Amino acid sequence: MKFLDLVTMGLRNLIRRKSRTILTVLGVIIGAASIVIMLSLGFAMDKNFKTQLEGMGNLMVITVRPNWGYSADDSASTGEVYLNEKAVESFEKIPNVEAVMPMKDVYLRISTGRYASDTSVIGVVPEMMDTFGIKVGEGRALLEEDQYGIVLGAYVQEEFMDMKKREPWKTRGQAEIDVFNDKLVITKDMNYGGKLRQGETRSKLKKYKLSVVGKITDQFSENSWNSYMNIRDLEKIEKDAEKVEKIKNKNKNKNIYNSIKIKAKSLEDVEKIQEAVKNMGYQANSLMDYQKEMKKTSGMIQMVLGGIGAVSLLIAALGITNTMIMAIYERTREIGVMKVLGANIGDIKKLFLFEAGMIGFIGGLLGLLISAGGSLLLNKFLGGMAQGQYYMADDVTTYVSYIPVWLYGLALVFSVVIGVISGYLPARRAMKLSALSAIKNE
Amino acid sequence: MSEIKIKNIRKVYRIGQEKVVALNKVSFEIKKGEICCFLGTSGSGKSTLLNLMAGLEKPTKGSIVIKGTRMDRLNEKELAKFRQNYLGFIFQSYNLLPALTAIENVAMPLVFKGVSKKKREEMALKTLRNVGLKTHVKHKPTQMSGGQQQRVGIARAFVGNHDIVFADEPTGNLDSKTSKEVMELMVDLTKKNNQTLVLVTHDRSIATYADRVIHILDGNIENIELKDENGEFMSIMDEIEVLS
Repeated sequence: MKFLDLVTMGLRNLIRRKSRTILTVLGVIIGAASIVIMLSLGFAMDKNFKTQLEGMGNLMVITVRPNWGYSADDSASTGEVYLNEKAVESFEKIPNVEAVMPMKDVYLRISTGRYASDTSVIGVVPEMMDTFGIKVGEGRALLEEDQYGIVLGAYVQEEFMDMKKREPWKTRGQAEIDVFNDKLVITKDMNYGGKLRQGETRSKLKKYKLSVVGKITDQFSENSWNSYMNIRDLEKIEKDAEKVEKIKNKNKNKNIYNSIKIKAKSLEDVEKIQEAVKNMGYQANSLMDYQKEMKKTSGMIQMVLGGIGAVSLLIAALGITNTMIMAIYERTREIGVMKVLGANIGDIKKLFLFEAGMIGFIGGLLGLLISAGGSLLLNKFLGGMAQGQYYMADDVTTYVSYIPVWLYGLALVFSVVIGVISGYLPARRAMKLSALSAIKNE
Repeated sequence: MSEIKIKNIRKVYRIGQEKVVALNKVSFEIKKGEICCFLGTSGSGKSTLLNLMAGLEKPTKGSIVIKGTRMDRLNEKELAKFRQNYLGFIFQSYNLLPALTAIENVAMPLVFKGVSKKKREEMALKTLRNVGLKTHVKHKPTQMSGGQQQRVGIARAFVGNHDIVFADEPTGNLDSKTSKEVMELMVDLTKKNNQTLVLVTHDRSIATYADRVIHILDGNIENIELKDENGEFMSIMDEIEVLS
């Protein structure tokens, strides 16, 4: 028997039993749609959280901090490891590391006239800013040749306060300062420009002429809180300050850098690199940690929701089996005649499996269309509600329901497989049916 | 060489605790090109005999050789193949598939054989013409009379040009006039293609169309008659008994 003939015959049989086929298909539609919609809720959670994390920073970046020895389970905590040039070199040797950037973190005051804004300034390697996801929204990124160039954090501008006032914080955000053109200085003197209290003398800490090259505009990124400067300039500021404050070398922190950032080549490498760094005795964090946690939660929610959907598909499967068994009773004579006329028992089995699989396929296909529509409606009408649950910029879409393309494919294949499995027993029964009963005269 | 050779066939049905002997040591031969009729009352075992020859049932004992093949030793798959190649069937209640048109019903055995759509429609159309139904090609069984339906049934049995055609009470549901037409048609087709026709009936008048009539009674062969050149039937039972 040719495959095309099998298909035509199967389709004709389904069309012949129109109402029953439609009802059975309806069951599969509901089953497939409910599974897909239920799973899509979980996938939406995943997706939203991922977008949120991506907004917060680069998922492929690992932040290394010195281990202060307070993590109870860490046996390496007693080891003498510091964040210095040697550490940078050893991190670079870890496989699948794309880049390593040492970072210094100093709290500084930016000042113009009577106004000043305090910010944490991070010393970076200029050409690595982009690699590590520090996105400059206005102006440009740092260049190696910039002298005391700075990329301002998202909140620096609104933190300018009138330091001559008695309660400067009340003037927050009032000053109209053009950071790109006004003359700005930066200093480690955190009282610069402010009123001196009795007995206080003006600090001898140096002031440096600052040139703002760019500004970060992204508000939700973990990078938004800081300003960025060439690490070379920042080290100079630190060294000058040490001279003024006469800090003795013996007490000096052996950690030259506050943190070191490592960028992995791909998402899959993050965990391994992080593990390697931890084994060296450092503390290492990445946004992947959150994501892993979140994946666990959403995975569980998905299992519960998917389980509910699966129940309806199971009922649909029973419906298919029922329909096919009915068909066998109805077609006993026909099957017998076909056998006597030379039909292979394998062909008869295939015919029934095809019919059952077809019910699954049509049901699955229509179910997918319905779930695609349902997903669209959910996002349209409930999308706003979900927005509030995540820290995301307003222009980023929040999903209530998200169906990845592969889920469509999987659901369709699943529906067909369910159909074929449901049809298997009836098909075997049809195959074993005695041809004799068909030619018996009644 | 004989087309069908049955030797010492025994068929016992088990109904609950009881054993019912349907056939008891039956032997006979049918030659190629012959029209053979099994004549007997209902319950005589003639239908069982047909089922055995068609491979629908297995004998309890004995051998069935058709075209040199031991039918009783074939498995389901081989049987299907064998039927596709050598056997045609005509049923008392026609057994046409109600959803299919006349031409589709006739082409059915060719579908299982894997013949292409174009070829099998050509063949089916030709056979329908031969049985005198060229105006009813696209009719469904429910739109045809009993005689017409049986003609479709006959066309279906002859379309594959099988060597052997089995017919189980082919005129059982037809009036005498139509019965006559149908019988003449079957005989005509069989003779034209040099096929072998095996009939089962309880109707004496049908038996007159046969070359060989085998009388069955209570699971045994009661008599075998052969038609001579003059159209008279002669019993050959005595010869067989002498031979065996």
